[in-house]
Amino acid sequence: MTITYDNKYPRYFLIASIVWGLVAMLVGIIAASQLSWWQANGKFLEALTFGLFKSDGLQYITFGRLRPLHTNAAIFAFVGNMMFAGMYYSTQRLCKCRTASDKLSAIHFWGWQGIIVSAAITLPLGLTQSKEYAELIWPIDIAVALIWVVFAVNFFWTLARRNEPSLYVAIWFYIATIITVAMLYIVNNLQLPTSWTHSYSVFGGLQDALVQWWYGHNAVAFFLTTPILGIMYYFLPKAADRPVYSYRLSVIHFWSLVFIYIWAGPHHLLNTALPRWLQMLGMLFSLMLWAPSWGGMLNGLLTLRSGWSKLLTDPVIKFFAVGVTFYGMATFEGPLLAIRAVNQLSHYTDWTIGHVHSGTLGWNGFMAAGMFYWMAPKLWKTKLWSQSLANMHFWVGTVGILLYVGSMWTAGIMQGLMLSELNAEGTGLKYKFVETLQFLNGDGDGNHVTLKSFFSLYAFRTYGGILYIAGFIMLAVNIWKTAQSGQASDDTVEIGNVAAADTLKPRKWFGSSVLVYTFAVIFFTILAFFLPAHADKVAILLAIFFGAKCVLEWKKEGKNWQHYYDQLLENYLPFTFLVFIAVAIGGVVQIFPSLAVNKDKNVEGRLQELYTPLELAGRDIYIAEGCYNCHSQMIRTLKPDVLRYARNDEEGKLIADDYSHLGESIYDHPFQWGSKRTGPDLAREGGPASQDNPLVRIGKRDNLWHYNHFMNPRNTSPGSNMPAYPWLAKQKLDFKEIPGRIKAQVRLGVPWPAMDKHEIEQHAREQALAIAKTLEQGAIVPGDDELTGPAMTRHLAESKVVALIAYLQKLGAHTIQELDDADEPKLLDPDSQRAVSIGRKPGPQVKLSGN
Amino acid sequence: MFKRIIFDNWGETIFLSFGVTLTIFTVATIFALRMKKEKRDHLAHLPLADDTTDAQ
Repeated sequence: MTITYDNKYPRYFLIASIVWGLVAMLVGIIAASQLSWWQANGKFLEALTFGLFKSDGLQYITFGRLRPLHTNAAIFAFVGNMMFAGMYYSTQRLCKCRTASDKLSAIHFWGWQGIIVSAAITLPLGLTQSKEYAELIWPIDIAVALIWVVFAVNFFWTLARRNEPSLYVAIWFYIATIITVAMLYIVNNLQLPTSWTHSYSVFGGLQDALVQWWYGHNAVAFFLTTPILGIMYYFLPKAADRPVYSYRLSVIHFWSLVFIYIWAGPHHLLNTALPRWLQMLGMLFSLMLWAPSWGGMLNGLLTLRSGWSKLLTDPVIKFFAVGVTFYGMATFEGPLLAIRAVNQLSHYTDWTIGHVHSGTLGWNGFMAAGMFYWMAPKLWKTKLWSQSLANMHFWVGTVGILLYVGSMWTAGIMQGLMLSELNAEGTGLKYKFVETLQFLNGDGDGNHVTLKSFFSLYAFRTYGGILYIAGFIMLAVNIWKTAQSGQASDDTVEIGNVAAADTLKPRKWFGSSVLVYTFAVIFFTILAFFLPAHADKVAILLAIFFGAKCVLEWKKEGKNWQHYYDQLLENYLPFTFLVFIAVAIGGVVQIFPSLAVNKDKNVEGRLQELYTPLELAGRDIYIAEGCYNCHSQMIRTLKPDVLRYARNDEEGKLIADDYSHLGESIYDHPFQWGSKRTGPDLAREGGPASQDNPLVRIGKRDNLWHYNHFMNPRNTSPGSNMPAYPWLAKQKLDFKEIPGRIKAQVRLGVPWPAMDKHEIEQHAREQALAIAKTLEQGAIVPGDDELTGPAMTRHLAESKVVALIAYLQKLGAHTIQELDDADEPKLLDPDSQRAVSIGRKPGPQVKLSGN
Repeated sequence: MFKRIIFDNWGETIFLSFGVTLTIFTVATIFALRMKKEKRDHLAHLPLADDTTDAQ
């Protein structure tokens, strides 16, 4: 039989990956430099345009808008296209058949590029959901889901037509990727649209946090790891010209990794308001990940063992060897950071950024480079244009990674230690937040670019990124020249006798009723956890019943377990179903309890106070500007966090339990806990309503401070690297869209009081005017110095900045809810959970005045 | 049962989860160890098989 493999779409995806990789890295370098020098947020354009552009910032390129563009481009555009190239190339050869449909391949390729272009346009415009790596707005999400289905159909159709009965382990990893990414993406992006470009997540507060990090963690697992492991298991043997070191180990690697990974998401929320059992679950499963990850890494490295002699000369082997080594480093560091005690120091700091980049630059980036250097000569039927340029790429890229990761590790650990260091008297914290930042970026008062800033840890991160992209440009040139020197064509092969594949009919997917009964036992055992009293006992009895049936059937058939397992290896549909079961169990156990219980009616103690219409509009601006990229709204249950961010009671004493409680963000769709603090936490930024005007709240700082801070943060916080937001004082708030957004929130279960659209708009305008009046004395509208007095007040009352100030002044407002019925489930905050576990009751709640 | 698992004895959930994982790991290991040599060799050589028949 003659087979012609399709090389066109592997080529297309390869080229797209290189192009988007360069874009992602360039945006990353700009974003990194913005943290060193705030002028990179647009002020530099004054010099570039010789004064034609005059402003302290440009809204489309602020860090808050570029960072999501960088992460999405790196994950979905660079690694996404790379993995599609590898999957399309290897699946055909492992299945010994051409990809099922060239049309579907074309729709997949062009659809995916269209999605990337849409993301590149909408994210700088501030159109975002604010959920990390899931920022894309809902129409693009639907496009992603549809294109993913096209890809899945093409892939599984190819499997159905294969001429090789056995499914190689790389195919297993691809199946896990396709199934799990679809499940994660759809669940995490469940949202209620309010317009073509805006929506609210159906999940709120803790529910949203849990679902988001179930997705976020497993986006790393099943988008950045499992497909690349599949690629590793195919391309490493090709490069080393020998089979994988241990096929047995690859089997153990696959099942244990796929099953364990999905459980580890809560480690992104350690020491927060997340219930303790979920934190412990996340930590435990993260630690267990050490075993399969290192098993896979050793399998990869030992596969290359006969190729060590090539290490000096063959750039493919070099990139693969170092890429797999970085996989080992990153997967050692990940569980380490998931230990609660270590996480106290690392979380919200640049240590996490260093960890992530050792994975993406080292593992993903170098595996991509190795694969491209191996594939390009095959795809264009020629030799690699320059081995020495590829070697140069390797060394430049390696030094770039080390500079980047080394500086971020140092910065993260140093800042984490500084933030918790006590003063000499031991009565408070030694450093202000901005002082720790200045240590990292060496930028003095922030108003001027200092020489010291060029030798700071943040600057070295930028230099590392520049070296890395320089290496990648060498790759682009090398591949371009290779393509020019060759001829693009498909591969044609002759294959011998074809054994039958997928011999099991759907009704016998599991070989016999033995496996069906086994699944029934698992299903009813899990179901028993979630059923109410007595119904759970029925489920357990059913599990026992099916268990007995299983044993009887097994004895009757007289076959061993290996028989059933071997059948799975040659039948892709039941195999896929088994993979889905493996990844779904973890999600069900983690998320369903939270969805069922974490509701406002179950909250005991602090319950979030509802926003006003203007405050909700301000929150939407906060999200659009990407403030969550640098500011958390989650004071952890840690002393340094409480000392730094908690408020004082009416007697001026620190409120010891003023960390963030579970009920305080329960109406936040989406949640805003954040994952990194380049600026301080904002959970207690707000304050009580003013006695003069209940529409005006005064928190830690007054309204004029906030206004001046937005116009140029250096005015109020010397040393800050936050971008200036002068456009917020000029752009008008769309009051007309607020009622529609409130309507959507009501449908999601937020108990807004009954108001018609006129009342909503009127309330918002009244509050905006009241806040604008507090700015009349002292505020200056950038570029319009002559606007003063009541005219300026009227102008600001229409502006976005006033809504944003209203939102910030509301943060931390809550009421106290008492629950009478002792039999009903109650939500336990981490503190009360801890108190229960050591046999004492939690301390009394202190109600804040005015909240 | 739900209330008891989530609120009263949450530690059991973790041990149960750990037990399930350990079972999966053990079963996968047993299956891997019991794979026949011919099957293992055939699967392990699949990535190398496509080159041998390349007609180009």
